[in-house]
Amino acid sequence: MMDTRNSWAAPRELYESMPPRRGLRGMRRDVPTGRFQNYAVGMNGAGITDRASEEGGGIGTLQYEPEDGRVVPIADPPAPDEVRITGEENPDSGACGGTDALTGWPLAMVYAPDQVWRELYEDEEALSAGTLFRELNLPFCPGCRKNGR
Amino acid sequence: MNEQQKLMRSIQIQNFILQETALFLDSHPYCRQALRYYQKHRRMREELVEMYEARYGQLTIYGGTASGSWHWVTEPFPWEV
Amino acid sequence: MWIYEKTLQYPVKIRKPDPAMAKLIITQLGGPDGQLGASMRYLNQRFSMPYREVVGMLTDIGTEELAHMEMIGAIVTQLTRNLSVEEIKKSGFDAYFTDHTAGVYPVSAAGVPFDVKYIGVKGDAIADLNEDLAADAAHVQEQPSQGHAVRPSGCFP
Repeated sequence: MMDTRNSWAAPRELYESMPPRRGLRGMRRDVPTGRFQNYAVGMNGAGITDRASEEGGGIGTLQYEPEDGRVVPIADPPAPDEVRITGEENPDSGACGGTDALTGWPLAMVYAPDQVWRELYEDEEALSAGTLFRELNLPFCPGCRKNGR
Repeated sequence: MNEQQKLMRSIQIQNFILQETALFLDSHPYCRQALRYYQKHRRMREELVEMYEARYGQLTIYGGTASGSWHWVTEPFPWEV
Repeated sequence: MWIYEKTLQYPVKIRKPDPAMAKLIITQLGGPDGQLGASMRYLNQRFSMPYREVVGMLTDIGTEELAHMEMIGAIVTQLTRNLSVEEIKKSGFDAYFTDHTAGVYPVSAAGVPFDVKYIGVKGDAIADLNEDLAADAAHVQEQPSQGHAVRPSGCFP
């Protein structure tokens, strides 16, 4: 992963001191190493090599390469039952949280799903649609939402 | 549309496709499908631009045939009606 | 650095001048959610981003916004050509015309000149990227609002 570290390295070190979090391409990170790998907008972080893509497409198993040269397979995140929820209510009901796909991820951060290369428009259609990707053709409907609905 | 406008429209279409693909590749630099798509459309665009510049003059200050006149200013700018 | 290509990203061929529309469209150029602001935001934020993927995206989007800026200039120029005094007065375009005639001067729809205070560059990647999300949402909102305010007049091919 390409690094543009400059002499004032504070932002990078700040991110790397943050608590562990899952890889944002649906890949898992080696939780015990404590290294912050990914960005809040869905890109690979330092040290992760997208081996599957280099070998011919598609998302496969990522390996994490910390600076000491070890190659560590990225482990699975904590399973939902490992995430402890305090309170009397049945955690399975979801009323106390803990059942959505982002459970266990750091709070108060913005996450965005990674775009996939798929569903392209034909050449002429793309210019008219204002995007090459069908999934990004998101017409705005002013006045469609009234009274908070 | 006349012939020049049709050729320009084809270039605009390929420009847009390459712009969108470049943006995707910025965040997926190893995606082979996108890279293949990029190379195919880049070739298409190069051919169209070569054709256009040969007939109608430069599209950039680095292009065209630098022949009898400086087409950059003898040919219209794109917002001229 | 930048290379200029002698084409508009999307063709602009306006058959009928309409200065009243120009007064509203020009906000896409010089207004708080316009293209000049967008390109300055992205092109300046990219210097402090810690990942090249993001530097690449901001460079390419910032460059594209310059192309959008050019399209708005083209639209305003075509909407304000060959105007009579009557048309200028009737359309509410007279105040702008007094200072700028048929020139293209980046202002908002209310006539407020472009201000670099419309953009934020904190040098912190997460703050800057969140600013970008907000800016794009505002921009996307502006287009249909403008569509409501402006009569459909068959201006575009």
